[in-house]
Amino acid sequence: MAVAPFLNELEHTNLSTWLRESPSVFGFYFVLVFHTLGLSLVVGPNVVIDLRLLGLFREIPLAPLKRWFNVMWVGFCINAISGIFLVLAYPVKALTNPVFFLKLTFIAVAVWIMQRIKKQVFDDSSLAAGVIASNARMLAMSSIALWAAAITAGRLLAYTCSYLVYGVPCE
Amino acid sequence: MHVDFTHLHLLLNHFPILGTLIGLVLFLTSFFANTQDLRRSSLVIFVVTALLTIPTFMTGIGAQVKMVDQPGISLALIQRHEGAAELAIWFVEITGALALIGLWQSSRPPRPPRWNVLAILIFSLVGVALMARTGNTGGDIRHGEIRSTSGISERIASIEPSPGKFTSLMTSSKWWWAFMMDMHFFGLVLLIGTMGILNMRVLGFAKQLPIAPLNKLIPWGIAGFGINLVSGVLAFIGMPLFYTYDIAFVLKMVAILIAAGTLALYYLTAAFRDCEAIGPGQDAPMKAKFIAATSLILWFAVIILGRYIQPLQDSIPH
Repeated sequence: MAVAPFLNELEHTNLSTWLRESPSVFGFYFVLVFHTLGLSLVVGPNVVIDLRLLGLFREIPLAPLKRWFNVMWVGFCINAISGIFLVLAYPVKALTNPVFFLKLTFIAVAVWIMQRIKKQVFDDSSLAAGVIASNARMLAMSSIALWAAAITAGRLLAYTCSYLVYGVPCE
Repeated sequence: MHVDFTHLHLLLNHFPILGTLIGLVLFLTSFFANTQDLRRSSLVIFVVTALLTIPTFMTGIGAQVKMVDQPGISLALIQRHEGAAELAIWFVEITGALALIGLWQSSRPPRPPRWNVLAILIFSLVGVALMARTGNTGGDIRHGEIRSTSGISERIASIEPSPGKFTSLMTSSKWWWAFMMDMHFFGLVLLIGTMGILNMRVLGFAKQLPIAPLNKLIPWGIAGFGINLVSGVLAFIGMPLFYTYDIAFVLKMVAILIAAGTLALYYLTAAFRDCEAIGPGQDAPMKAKFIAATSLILWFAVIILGRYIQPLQDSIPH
């Protein structure tokens, strides 16, 4: 697999090397912690809202759940930033793995659906009357499926990589 | 006083053995009682027993490492005991899960449904029998005077898992391991999403939500916890030494037990009843807020500790 020399140079930068090799508690695993916390903040409430749109927990009023979109955005920002640092730590590993790009695609679509749900269901003034947009069920199911796919893709990265760093294969 | 895994294992093993038995006795007695108190108490005991069985099971590995080279200790007898435990634990955990469902559904109307009662009866009976077997084989390790000479112990062992094979099975395929870790994240998401929304509301976030309907989320959170319990125990069986001597993992287990304790505190004390009446815009009582904050912090600590398992392997000297 041809690896862009730029990625090799990236791995030799101080930041990349420090993230990968530092024994400090603030190194790679610290970034990974934020990535997991951010994930739980994005997907956790999202799944609850999706299940609510699918008809579960009908006694929970929909409108107040709109506040949770702020939390989900905070989670997404945490993951975007921590994600960048994770790629900076192992650029060859991430960017030569097709599963990584699959993960990014799943996330992009899931976030787009999250925004559509917010617009169609929560920003709709008829929400007060208890009427949910007709394609909300489809959006909710897609949302759950896409986040599950994104998480799975993320989990599989460690098992599908070709290179740990430039010139060093993954086991 | 010197505390090690052997000590902890011998201390903790009382809980699964006595807990299943006392739970069953109370449960059977409750059929002849007029009130639901005895039934509910037995269900609580089943849940607590299921939780404490986990650290009991896990400390067994550390105990094995300490004991196996000592004179008079047979590896074969240790493994027979381990195999018995690897069968018994599932029945104890399933009994606990069924008891939790029974407790949940018995708040309104005030009794668990019939299928639940029947299922608990079956699983708890088998659980008691298997825990007796586990305790007995555990005693055999040290106490030659109680070992049977009829060969019946070996015959029973033939239907129990072989620890070596169970371990190999868990690590035989990296895709199976990836699947288990994937499920672990799904469980995490369910748990944080549901528990997080309820706890944050109690603390005052998204105040237009009435609190009572949010309790409907918790069974899904418990389901997430259940997924993680199963995937977690299977992972532990797959790499027992790796997890046993990892301080992050040990602390993660402690945090989970305390977090489960806060959930119990919320539902078994007045905090739950006080919060039920809280409507949109209203503030929850301070006691409930304290429990909610503790719960949130603990579950996030569980996530953080979980991520630090990898770099902190071999952090406990042995």
